[in-house]
Amino acid sequence: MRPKLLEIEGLQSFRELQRIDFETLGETGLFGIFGPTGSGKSTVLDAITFALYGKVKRAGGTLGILNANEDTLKVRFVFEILREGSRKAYRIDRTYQRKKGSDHACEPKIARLIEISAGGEIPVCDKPSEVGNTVRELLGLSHDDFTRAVVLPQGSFQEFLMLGNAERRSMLERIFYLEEYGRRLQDKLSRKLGQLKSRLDTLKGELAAYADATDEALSEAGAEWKAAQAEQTRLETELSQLEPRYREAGEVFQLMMEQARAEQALKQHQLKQELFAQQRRKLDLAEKADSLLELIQSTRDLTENQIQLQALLKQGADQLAAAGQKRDKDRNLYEDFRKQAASEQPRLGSLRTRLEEALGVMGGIRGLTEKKEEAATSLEKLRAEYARVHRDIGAATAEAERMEQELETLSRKADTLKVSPEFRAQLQEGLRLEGLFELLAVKKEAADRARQALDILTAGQEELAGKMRDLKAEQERAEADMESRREEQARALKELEGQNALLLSLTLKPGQPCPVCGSDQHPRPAASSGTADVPLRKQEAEAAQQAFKAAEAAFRQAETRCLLAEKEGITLAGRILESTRELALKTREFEAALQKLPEAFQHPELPEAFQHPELPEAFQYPELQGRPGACVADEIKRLAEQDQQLKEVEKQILHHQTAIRDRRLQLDQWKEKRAEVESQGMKVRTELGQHIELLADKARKIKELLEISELPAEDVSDPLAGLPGEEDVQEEIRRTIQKLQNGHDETENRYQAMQEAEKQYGALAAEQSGLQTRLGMVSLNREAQETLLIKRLAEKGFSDAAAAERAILSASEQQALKTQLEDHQKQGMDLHARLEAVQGRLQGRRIGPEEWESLQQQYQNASRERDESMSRSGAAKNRFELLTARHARWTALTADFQQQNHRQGLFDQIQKLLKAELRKDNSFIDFIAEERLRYIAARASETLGVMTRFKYALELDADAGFIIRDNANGGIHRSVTTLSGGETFLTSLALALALSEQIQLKGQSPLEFFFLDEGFGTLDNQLLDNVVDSLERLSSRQRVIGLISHVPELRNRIARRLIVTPPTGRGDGSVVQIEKA
Amino acid sequence: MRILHTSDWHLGRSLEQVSRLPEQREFIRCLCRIAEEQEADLVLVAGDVFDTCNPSAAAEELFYEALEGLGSRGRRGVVVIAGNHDNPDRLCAASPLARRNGIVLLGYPGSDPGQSGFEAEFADSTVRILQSGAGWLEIQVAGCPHPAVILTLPYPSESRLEEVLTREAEEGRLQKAYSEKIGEIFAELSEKFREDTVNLVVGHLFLRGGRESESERTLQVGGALTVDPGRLPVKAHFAALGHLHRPQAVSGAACPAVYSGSPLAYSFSEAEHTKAVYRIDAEPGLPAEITPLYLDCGRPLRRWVAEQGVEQALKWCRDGRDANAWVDLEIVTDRVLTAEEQRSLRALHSGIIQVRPRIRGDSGEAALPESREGRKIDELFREYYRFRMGGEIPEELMQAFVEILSEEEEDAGDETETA
Repeated sequence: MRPKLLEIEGLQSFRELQRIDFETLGETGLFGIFGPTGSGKSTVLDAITFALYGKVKRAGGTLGILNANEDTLKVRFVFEILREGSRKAYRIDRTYQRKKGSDHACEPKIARLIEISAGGEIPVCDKPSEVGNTVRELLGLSHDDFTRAVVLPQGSFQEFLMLGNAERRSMLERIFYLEEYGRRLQDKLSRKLGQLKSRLDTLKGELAAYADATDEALSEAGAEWKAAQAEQTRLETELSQLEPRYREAGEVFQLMMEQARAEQALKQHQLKQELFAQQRRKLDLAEKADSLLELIQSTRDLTENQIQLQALLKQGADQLAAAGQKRDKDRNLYEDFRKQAASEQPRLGSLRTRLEEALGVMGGIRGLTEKKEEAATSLEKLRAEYARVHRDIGAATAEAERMEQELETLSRKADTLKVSPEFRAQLQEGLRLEGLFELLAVKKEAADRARQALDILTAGQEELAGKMRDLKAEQERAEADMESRREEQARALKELEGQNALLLSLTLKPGQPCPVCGSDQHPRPAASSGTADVPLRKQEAEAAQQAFKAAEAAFRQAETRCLLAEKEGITLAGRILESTRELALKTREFEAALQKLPEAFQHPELPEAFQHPELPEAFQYPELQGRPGACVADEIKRLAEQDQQLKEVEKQILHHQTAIRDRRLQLDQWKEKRAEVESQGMKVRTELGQHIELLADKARKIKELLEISELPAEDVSDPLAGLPGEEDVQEEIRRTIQKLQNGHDETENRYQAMQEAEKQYGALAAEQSGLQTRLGMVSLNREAQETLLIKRLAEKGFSDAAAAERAILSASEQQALKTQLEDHQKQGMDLHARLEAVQGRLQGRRIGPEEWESLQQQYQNASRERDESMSRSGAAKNRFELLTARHARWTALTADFQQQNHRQGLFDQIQKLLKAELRKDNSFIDFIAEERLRYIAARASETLGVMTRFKYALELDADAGFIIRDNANGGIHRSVTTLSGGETFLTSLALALALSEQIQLKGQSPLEFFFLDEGFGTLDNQLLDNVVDSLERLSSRQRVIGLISHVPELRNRIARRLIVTPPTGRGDGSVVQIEKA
Repeated sequence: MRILHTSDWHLGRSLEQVSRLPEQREFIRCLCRIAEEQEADLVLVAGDVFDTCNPSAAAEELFYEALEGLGSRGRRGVVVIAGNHDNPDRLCAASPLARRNGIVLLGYPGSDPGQSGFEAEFADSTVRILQSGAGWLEIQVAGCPHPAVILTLPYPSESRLEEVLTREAEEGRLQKAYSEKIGEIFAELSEKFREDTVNLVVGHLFLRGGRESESERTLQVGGALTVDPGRLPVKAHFAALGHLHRPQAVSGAACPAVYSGSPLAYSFSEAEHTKAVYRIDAEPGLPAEITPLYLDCGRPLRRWVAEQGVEQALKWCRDGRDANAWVDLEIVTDRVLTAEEQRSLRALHSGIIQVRPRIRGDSGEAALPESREGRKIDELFREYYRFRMGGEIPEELMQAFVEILSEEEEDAGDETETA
């Protein structure tokens, strides 16, 4: 796990939102959180555990963690987890709110765990308890493990070191996923045992419930069931014997009741006989009236028809009269109109023709006017152009004149600048001569130098010759001296030799070999001539030898010097020869230079080789003599300048000439153009005149055409003045056409109306005559019908038509009456039949009510007894069957109980085995975890060694508890509880580092960071240095270490710092800020 | 011009509990003597004068004594820069006094020695600052024909470096790597170098390829503060560097670059180093001549391993082995050392810093256990039964155990978050 971002709001001393970017902070692998006491350093840690687990260890939960001035606290924590080689990012948001009415308590409002993937955010869970559990699973660490191994808060630093064995074991279990062997195994076992126990309890309970289902109880129930069955059979027989008698008596009693009811009903029927006779009469009358009804109706219809027709005839006569009048009126109107139209039409037609003609002419005028205006405009333009060209010509002429004047001035200037060619040639010659003289001077100087050198060498040679002579003399002297010394030495040696023989003889002894001749016989030893002289002689000889040597050396020296001088002489002679050659060469060169001069300047008496060559003083070029001090070169330079000036002026002249030529050319062009413009102007003016004349013609024509019309036409000087516009004329034409059309349409309408009126009158007259005919026919019919009706009424016995109508009944009424009569008749017959049937079935049998009552009672009693016996027998049967089943169950349960009891024994044995020892709750896990713990201790020991310069080592005792080896005290073992504050801190730190390293190796999600809160205050500077050095070396990109401290030395040492500023009195909260070293 | 180069004095540093001040005083005197004998014109101290940012009064006094002796009343130029151990402000606190004696103290990468603006400040001295600016100065020593241009880079921590670059308000530069930033500063400052001057660099840095010792405080946590030696200015005659405690020339550098190293061995890992200061003779237009002057002051550090136990160690002490040295003693033994033995060892040799027993046969290396954890649980349990009860497990019991194992996992979670 690696933290990425933390946001805190409202937690403890924090108020407004603070954001900590762990990516920047952890860049170097080591960072520190610094700030004064109470600034909220530890709260940063609290915020992380709070975000992950929803509680703050320092506060023991969530009580009081809310800032006193805030009602909400929010924490957001983003972290990454490396799992199975891939990184996943998660975010946790927790928001808590103050509990209502509480000072300290708060309650969760939002808790959310979100996975941040490339594709977006995936919510994982959003309930406070779920978030905590999921985090626990993701990290593999509980809140307590986390604070012990990863975030080490103030005060809980040494917990792991000091932890009891049991707690440490359970922590190792979680961290290293040994739960399978430990807690989970325990859980399973306890659960299994619990299950078994409850199973046994249940079995016991069940067996208790089946206590009545024993073998005896079963046979007893069987006997009971059989007795009940016998009783039931007896009662059923009794009942069947009583049954026939009871049925017959019942039937007789029913029939007697029936007979009485029938007799009563017949009596009622006879009472209604008279009423039904009246009804029959009424029905007969109605039937007679029915046959007359049709005739009466048709007679009445005919009468009504006749009256209607008469009314219609009268109305039709009125309408016919009105139509006649209208027809006459329309005919007169049409005639009037036709006449009027015939007189108007020809006049309007001619007017239209003329108007149209005038319109044509007007179209022509429009074109002409445009052309005229165009001509006027172009004339104006030409006029302006002419003026402009004219002006330009004036200006150009003036300029050309000015330029010609300037040209003249320039030509004069050029003349003054020209130089004669003779003068130029003279100057060239002078330049060449000057060069020759210079060369001559150089050559002369070289020749002089060569000569001087030769002189010096010659002098040297002479000097050397003198010296040579001296040296030779000296050499000879030395030689003579040497020779004399040599003789002296020879003499002295000879003397000494004589002395030698004497000396030898003194040393000789008989029998010993002589050192000179080797003979051991010494027949003639030298005789002594005075032994005292020997050392003196020897001395003299040595002195002579020395003198000779010195003389020899002197001679050799002299000889050497002589040789050197000779050698020098030879060298000098060579150099003189060389110098002589040089002089000859230089002289020749000088002569050659002199030869090059014009003859006039050659010196008459050329020097001999070794004479000093001198040039005559007055070598002067005659041409230059008139200009004393002027140098040829200067003159040439001036000349060149003058040439340059001349070239410039000539260039200007050329330029001016070209310009003047251009001007003239342009002037001609302009003049040509002026003439052209003028002729064009003339042409346009003529055109304009023509246009105006044509226009006047047209105007006259229109006026002629329109004079007859009603339009006004005034004759003014402008031919077009007072002419109406084209639109006006068109409008007039439209109006005239309209009038023509109107006259035509009206006439047509009138004709149509007249025709219509005529047609209407005809139709009405025809209709009237039809009606008259129909009336006659209807009157005839009516009279015949009336005669027939009177005759029929008399036949049926009705006084008149009204009486007949009164007797009529509707068909349904008649039918109802008929049915009533039939029903009554049928009822009477039925009643008689019923009575006869009852009497037939009775056949004279009788029974009294009392007798029937007692028989009934008897039968009911017998029947009830039988039912009761039946249910008793059923119950007995059921009980027996039930007991049979329960008995089977009881047998099975007993067997099960015995088996489970045995298994419980086995599990108890396993549990005891896992506990094994009194103090431990699982020594199986100890068995497994011990190796790892030992390894952690060894790793921690290494780190501790580095930090303390190997003063301490951490080891495990026999009970797998931690123990310290104190190397500074010769290696004795000490309990961890005897360590001082600083030592405890170091040891815990080493242990925590080893532990986190192990989690990194083993855990499914490696811990990539590690936090220390305080503890550094207990170290002295030297130790602090060591610890920080070690931490710097231990930290890396893979594991970021964070420290919390107020120790200033530490702050200076650490490159990445999170500075926490405490809340000020003004009500703002803690503020964080990242700082680099 | 003759220049002396030294660094990493770590005044006030102790070895475990033992103060090194007397040895450091000895070194300071020796250094002053060398300066006189060699007739040096200029002394460069390349950082880490003190060991902590809060040095003791005695250490500070020694520092001032050194400045006094080296400067020789303004006859010799002295330039001191702060290292990563020094407190830059504290180091420069004495500047008002120092300047009058031709001594330049610089705390930060962008410090400008001439910024005070007093022309007359060097009145007492024959040393003159001719020109200066942020991170460089031109110094003239009387009697020396050429002035020297010195680029100064006191320890550039990340934030100090950023501050220098921020002053130039160039956002892009802040994004670059540390090494590049340093290189840019050098490239810019090296424009101050001239053909007629002696061109020098003095800096406190970790150059890639430098060999470390145990007594340095590591600068390259995560490799961040390592500088490419090719970034040094090409035109410099010499770069006088501080930070590494082993005297060494850096290979692959753009100009001759040397760590003078610490004057004393400060950790047992440096027991074999010969400590030195460097003498540099430089003239404009010619390559500089660099000569190490080996030091022989302070007590050496020695590591003893007594393979044959306490007796051997005691014998060494009695024989007067390394009598003048500080000793780190490891004794291979098969029992705990008695207090008496330790006392007599210390009585025989006063330089024993630490006595550490190593129990024979304890290699100190722990093997990662995988033997038990990797195996199947039923096997483990069988073995555990054997270990616990001393016999084979009855089959009936084993069956019961397997039955427990095959028990369904209960839903996790009901046992957590019980607060």
